[in-house]
Amino acid sequence: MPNVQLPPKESNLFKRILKCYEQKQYKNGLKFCKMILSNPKFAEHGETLAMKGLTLNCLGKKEEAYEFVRKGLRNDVKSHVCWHVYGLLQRSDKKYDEAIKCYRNALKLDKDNLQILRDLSLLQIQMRDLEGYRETRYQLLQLRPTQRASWIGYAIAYHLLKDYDMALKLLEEFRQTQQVPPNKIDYEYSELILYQNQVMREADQFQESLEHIETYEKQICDKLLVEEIKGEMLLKLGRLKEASEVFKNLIDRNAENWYYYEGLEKALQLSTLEERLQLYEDISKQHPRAISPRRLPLNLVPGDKFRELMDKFLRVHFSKGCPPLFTTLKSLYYNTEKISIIQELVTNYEASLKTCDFFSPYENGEKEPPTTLLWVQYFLAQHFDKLGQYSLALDYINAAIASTPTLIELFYMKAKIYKHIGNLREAAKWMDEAQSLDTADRFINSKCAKYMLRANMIKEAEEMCSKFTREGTSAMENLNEMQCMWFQTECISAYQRLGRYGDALKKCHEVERHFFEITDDQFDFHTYCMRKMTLRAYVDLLRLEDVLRRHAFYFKAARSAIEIYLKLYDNPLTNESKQQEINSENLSAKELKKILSKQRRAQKKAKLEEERKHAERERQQKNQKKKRDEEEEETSGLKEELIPEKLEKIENPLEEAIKFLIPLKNLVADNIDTHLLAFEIYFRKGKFLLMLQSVKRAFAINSNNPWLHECLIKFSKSVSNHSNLPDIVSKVLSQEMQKIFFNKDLESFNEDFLKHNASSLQHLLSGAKMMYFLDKSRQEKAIAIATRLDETIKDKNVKTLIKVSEALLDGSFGSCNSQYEEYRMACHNLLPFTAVFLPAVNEVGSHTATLNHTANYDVLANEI
Amino acid sequence: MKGSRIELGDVTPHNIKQLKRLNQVIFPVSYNDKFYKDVLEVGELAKLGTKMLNHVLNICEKDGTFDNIYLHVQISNESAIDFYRKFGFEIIETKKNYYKRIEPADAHVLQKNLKVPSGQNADAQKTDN
Repeated sequence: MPNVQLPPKESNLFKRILKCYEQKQYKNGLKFCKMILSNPKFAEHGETLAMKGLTLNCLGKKEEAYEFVRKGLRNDVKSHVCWHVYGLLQRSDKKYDEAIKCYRNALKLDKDNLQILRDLSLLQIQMRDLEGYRETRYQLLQLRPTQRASWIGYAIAYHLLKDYDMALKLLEEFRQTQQVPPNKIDYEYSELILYQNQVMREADQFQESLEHIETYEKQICDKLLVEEIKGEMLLKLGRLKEASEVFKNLIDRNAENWYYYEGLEKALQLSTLEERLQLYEDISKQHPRAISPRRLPLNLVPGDKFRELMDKFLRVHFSKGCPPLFTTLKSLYYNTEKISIIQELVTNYEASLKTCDFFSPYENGEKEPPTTLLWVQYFLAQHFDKLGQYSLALDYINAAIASTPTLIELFYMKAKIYKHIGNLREAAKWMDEAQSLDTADRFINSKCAKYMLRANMIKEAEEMCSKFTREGTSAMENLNEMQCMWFQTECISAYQRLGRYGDALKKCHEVERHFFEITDDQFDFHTYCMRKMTLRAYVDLLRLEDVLRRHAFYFKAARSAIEIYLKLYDNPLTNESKQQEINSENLSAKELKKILSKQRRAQKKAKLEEERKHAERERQQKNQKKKRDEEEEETSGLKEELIPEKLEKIENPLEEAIKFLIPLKNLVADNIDTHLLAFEIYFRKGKFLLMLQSVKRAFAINSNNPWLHECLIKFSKSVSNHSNLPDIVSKVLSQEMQKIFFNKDLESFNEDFLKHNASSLQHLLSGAKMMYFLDKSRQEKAIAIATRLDETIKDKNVKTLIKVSEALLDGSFGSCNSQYEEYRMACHNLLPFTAVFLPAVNEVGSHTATLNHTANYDVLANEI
Repeated sequence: MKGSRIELGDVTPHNIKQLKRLNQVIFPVSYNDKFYKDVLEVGELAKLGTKMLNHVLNICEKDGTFDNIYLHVQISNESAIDFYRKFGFEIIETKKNYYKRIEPADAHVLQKNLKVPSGQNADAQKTDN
């Protein structure tokens, strides 16, 4: 259709349409569109149709919007306005790649259109098309050299591309054009200077950075940062004396920042331990209330000196009452000598304080208040809990509770001890007690909810959270809205343990959507930060977004999702009608009729249930939509609702699993689990080269990992079972596998693994599983190995023992019910409080496990 | 004894259970739930205050070495002043700008002599608030 030029009247109307769009007066805009389009001469005017579509999009009428815009574009394919509008439409649906294409087309038709160039640059930086972004910003700079955003944007582009020289040239040029009164402090100028300096430091231009910061010092608002930069640069330039002055001043400003002590030590380069201790002693005299100069030497000294310093440190803090005392000392607990010194000191305090009010019986002076004993007992509970001596820990915490039954920390700790023991219900109970003592404290409320989720008490946890969530919505909904991912990831694990895969997957997807939203939200900051000159924060934001899915929450959700999808692939959930294939031969007609009618009734019931749920969901959706309409949220790209039943019956679970896997492979490649999860997926897909890639990467991280061992054996077996692989693949496989297996046969490989790890239960379990896998006739021997509980085994802790017992139940060793029972009893004797091993209620035998303090019953924890 | 730092806080519906727990452990009598409801509503711990103050006075009496007890009360807090006077405390002094953050900032000093006055000893006093 030929392009019709609008005469003056219609042209004015069109201008007004554009204004209405900008001012969000959508109804008026549509009115004007109608006025143009109702005239038969202009009924097919491309640009008007496009604007109508765009306006409709803002009113939420997405489908119509697309119709009109596409129509307009078809009618006037050479109009940059139409392409621009189409791009805006795509952008509003977050189809950024498509939008970029549209903008490029628009630019072909009108290459100096500022608005389009700006929109394009935003999309390019959003999609991290850094080269494209730089080009576009160059064009913007040429068109508007007086606008400061043009310079800044162009400089940032070079910075992100790591072309520091260009970036610095531009920033300096730009800085010189800024007129700043010398005696006033201008925040935006200060930020510009600091950004410039950051680029210099990233370019390793330490000398320039130091001179620069000294030159503009007076105009920088963040005085602390100036000093820190000076200190860092002086160190890098080897000017140690000056550096030490700077760090001394920094310590005077804040004596608790460990980074300053590091810097000071680097600058002074003291060689002997005595000199270093003297340094901390001097600082402590200058800052008597500072904790760090007293805490840091504890990291350095051994033996008797450690005892002396620790004794002083502990006494001061127990007297004063310092609840996080154990937390501050926890990092010393890798060193067995230090652990035993601490234990000796504190248990002696406890014994002494109970009889006389002094830290040791031979003292005099001021007596200790009763709270000192309390804090000592609290500390000992934490200490023995860390060492895995749970009954002793319980003794101490109960003694503390007896004297001070209102202190929430004590109940919190008691709950933790039960958690470590493996009695999760008891743990939840005590955490509930803790939160009941202060129902205004959201921290302890959340901890209680978390412990309930660990005990699979999902309803109770939701109720607990609802004490703080918004009125009117369910806690689950509100917590999702608030992106409360700790809660959601715990729910995922709980649902997983309960086998409620649909619910778990729903939460996994919810978490994934949060990450999508957080990534998406950066869009507005591209313009905002340039305007406000908060450039360092802006670059930090970009860098954060680049690695966002490295976060533990994403890893947890992704890992669980993959595990579930693998399970669903191995054991798909079928509809009731497919199950229960009746063997009708052995039944009489009457029985058959009975069974069939029973089935029919069950199916009907299930159908009704599903319909009810569906109706309920629709009602909820309607309510939500009403609410949304009332709040007039014009959010585009409304997400499809997540329905648990649908999610768990998915057609292609492995494909879904891979979607979760890919960010892990890109961002968390240093975690061996990423590669092992990848292996499990590719194994089921039969992708040998990808399997090889996964095991190779895992092998490089930790060749002795138990799970990896299982994967390697499964892999090797699978390769030898598939004789019809293409030649080149076989060649690569055998070449690479040689490096891992060294031509050993699998049985020997497994034997060697077992021998090499004879004292680690985790490894023995894997080796035993593989022994059975390779040769089912060796079931007895395999089980015997996995269920070993003798003295030589180092990691007989709750987690590992539960793993073994689960393996006995899940078929890894075939059917072995009696062996499982035997094992459960043995574990129960070892860990009398762990819920999983408790005998069933109707069993004859000892229910009441009495506390036994003999050393045999204490198990060293393997976990740091 | 080393100076133990004591802080006061309000009883609210959020931490009422701590008060319950304390009473359970300290006192041989248990209070039913209505008591605690009243505690929250009334806002002053009428009988409990009496009990506590008597408790303190008993300790001092038994100990024998205490000469007097004194405390500070905000000059506008008439109900507190009346309460302490019932137990034999008297206003002996008024300190200006005693309080840093409340208005009025002045405080009365109320004192109760424990010994029959015959040569006062100014030492061995116990702080109460």
